[in-house]
Amino acid sequence: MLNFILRRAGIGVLVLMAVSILAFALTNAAIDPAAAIAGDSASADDIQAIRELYGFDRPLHIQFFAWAQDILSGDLGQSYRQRRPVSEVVMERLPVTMILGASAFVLALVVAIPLGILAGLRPNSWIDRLALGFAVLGQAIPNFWFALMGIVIFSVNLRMLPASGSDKWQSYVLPAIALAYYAMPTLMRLTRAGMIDTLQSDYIRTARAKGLRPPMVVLKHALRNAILPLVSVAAVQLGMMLGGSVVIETIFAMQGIGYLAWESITLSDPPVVQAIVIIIASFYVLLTLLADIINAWLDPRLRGR
Amino acid sequence: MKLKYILGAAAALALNLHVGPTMAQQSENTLRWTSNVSLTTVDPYFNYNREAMLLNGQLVWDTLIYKTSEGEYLPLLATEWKWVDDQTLEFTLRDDVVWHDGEPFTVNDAVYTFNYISDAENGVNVQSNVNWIAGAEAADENTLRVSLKKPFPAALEYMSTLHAIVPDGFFGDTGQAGANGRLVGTGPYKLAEFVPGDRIRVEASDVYFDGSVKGQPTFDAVVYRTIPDTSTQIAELLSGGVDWIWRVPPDQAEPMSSIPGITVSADETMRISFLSMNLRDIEGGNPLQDIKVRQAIAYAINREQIVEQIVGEGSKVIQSPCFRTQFGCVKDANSIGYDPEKAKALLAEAGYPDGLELKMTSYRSREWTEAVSGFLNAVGIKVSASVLDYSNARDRVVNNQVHMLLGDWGSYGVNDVSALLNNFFTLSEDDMAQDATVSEGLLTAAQTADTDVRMENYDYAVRRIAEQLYWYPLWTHPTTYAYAEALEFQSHPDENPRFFESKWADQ
Repeated sequence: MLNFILRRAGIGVLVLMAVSILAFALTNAAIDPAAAIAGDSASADDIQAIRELYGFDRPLHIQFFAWAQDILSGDLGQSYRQRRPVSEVVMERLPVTMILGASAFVLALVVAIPLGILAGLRPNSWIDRLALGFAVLGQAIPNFWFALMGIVIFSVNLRMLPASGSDKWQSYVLPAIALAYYAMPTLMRLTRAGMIDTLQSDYIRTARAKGLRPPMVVLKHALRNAILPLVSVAAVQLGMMLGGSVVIETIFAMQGIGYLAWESITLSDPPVVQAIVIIIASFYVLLTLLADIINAWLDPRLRGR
Repeated sequence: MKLKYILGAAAALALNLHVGPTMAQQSENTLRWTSNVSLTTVDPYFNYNREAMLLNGQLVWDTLIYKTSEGEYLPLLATEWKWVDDQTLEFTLRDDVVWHDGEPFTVNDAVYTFNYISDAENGVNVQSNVNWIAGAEAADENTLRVSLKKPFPAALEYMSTLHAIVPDGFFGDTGQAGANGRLVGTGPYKLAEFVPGDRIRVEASDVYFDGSVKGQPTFDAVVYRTIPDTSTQIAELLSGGVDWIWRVPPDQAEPMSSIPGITVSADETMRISFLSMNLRDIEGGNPLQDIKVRQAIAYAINREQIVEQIVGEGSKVIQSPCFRTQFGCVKDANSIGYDPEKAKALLAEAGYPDGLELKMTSYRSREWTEAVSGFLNAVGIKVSASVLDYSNARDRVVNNQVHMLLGDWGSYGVNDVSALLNNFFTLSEDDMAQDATVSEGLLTAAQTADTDVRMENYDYAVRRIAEQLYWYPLWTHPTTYAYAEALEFQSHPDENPRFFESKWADQ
């Protein structure tokens, strides 16, 4: 098991290294930080002065190694815009994203799993059709549109919830629903497919033949096996919610790292963009590693792979 | 994005919403406004956004003198000022001003401010706003003397709008605002809360000096919030979450104007759009070096129609490559109008009877770019257009990769053409025309205090740019404001919303 974990962790480190090179190369290709810092009204001389002041005129590989060395020593650099450490900027924003991601994730699981079980128990019934229809809608409706409709109905019309911000708990309701709604279909479909598959297996038939009560059969015996594939997918979904909520956080002006990413891209603040990419990649790597470990623990056959 | 606006507006109208801003903010005498700009620093020098420099800058801090939207200078922190010679300005400072922490404002604060911002090592973002200042000194305890590196007649334009005076030692050793523990200003509002990227709350100062042209504070508090998405900004205004928004897209302004409790107004600004033509040598030849081709391009574009149907209310077609109130701007320097047949004839005369292909870049609006390209296509000029962000579009200009730039410039509200044309026609890498006579005229005008000499040189430069069609002047940009009906608000063409002039109707 330890070998397995070390192997997977090694792959994770390689992924992070590749991401850091890509993040650095792409942000440098896409953004001329000197021009961005100087602003629209800057002359060529202004831009050149900033280029020299910040060291943007050094060869790219030298800038990369200096940056990588800083990252390894725990220094994420200095934000060109905010003129303070990137780690400080990011840490301020992380709690909002964590709360939003966790709320959306729990909401998605709480709705998707029971719905998936019900649909799996009665394939082709009205509830199954309803659940599948819900899943199709969830996949088809863009989340920004869903979010805007939520704002129109609950903020503008009913005035029940704030349209933007992240300073009170009510501000999290609409974004969490919008974010969860996007993740629910996949989780629901997987639970449903897993249930249908498991309920047809021999050991379930045996359990029923032994006279176990149906809830016991479903919840204790079937569900445990049916949700195995859900673990890996849920890890990816949680990663997506923690890192991929750029659109939702931007629409709702929530002070999370998704919004910070958008903000830093539009303000051309490469150190913050690079740090966020690495943090999000780390989330994915850690969650995937965790999912691998849980799966390997549940199914020993996986440990040899 | 446009789809979002349409969907948002359609849904709002379909639901027949009876909306209007809540009265809570009015009873609390607070103004809450929003924009999509994320303010990451609170000081007025390391954030080039208009929101920071002109709004929070002028609420929390004061300049030495104040400039009205008509361009008149009035006393603010200085009671009098004069040019000692063409490189020295002298200001007599008020002696009854205190900082928000109660400390008196002295000449040392002003000396520190100018010496700090003019030092290139300190890295003020827009160096051209400050790099003509040599330094400052106290002539006596109430007199400030600012020395310039060279004659710079537009100095007062900058000093009256952009050069907020900060307390002595304000940036400390770290360069961060308030590093000396005194994050204070002399303005009508004091800083109460700053969350980088999110919000700034300022509250009425109870020590603001009497007799200021800005007047005593009219609100108890003014709160700025960043909301990046325009649809969300509109939703916040409709639901009473904020009281004032600006830069509302024209397609949203119209449905909003029919909503009770909301005032929508579109006003012209100093920002102008222009089609800049590249006359430099390009590999494979450059058709734009022939003035007939440039004229054909100008005759092909129906500016009136674009303004009416796309740019929207508040915009006007311009006939000169500058804004009419700017010093040095010659009225009607260009007389070309829409005439597609003439455009085709000119192309044929220039040796392109079957048309030609040109590359264009722009950075403001895809719709405007497509409209201009469409008119050019109609006379046989096939345009390959790329809409980029400003720095990438500029890169294409600098690297000589395009024939035309559909650009625009706001001049920072500076009422002098040097803030506009000197960026583009002084033989720098941004200069697509590379006309030495225009450059000489502009530089002479910008470095001379003699008004007649300045005007004569600007007259030459502006006319030459227009006649030679280095720029084809297009239109002025409108800004559309939407706000709670109960708010008394007056907009100005320098795109500077002066919140200190606003108040709630019943206050």
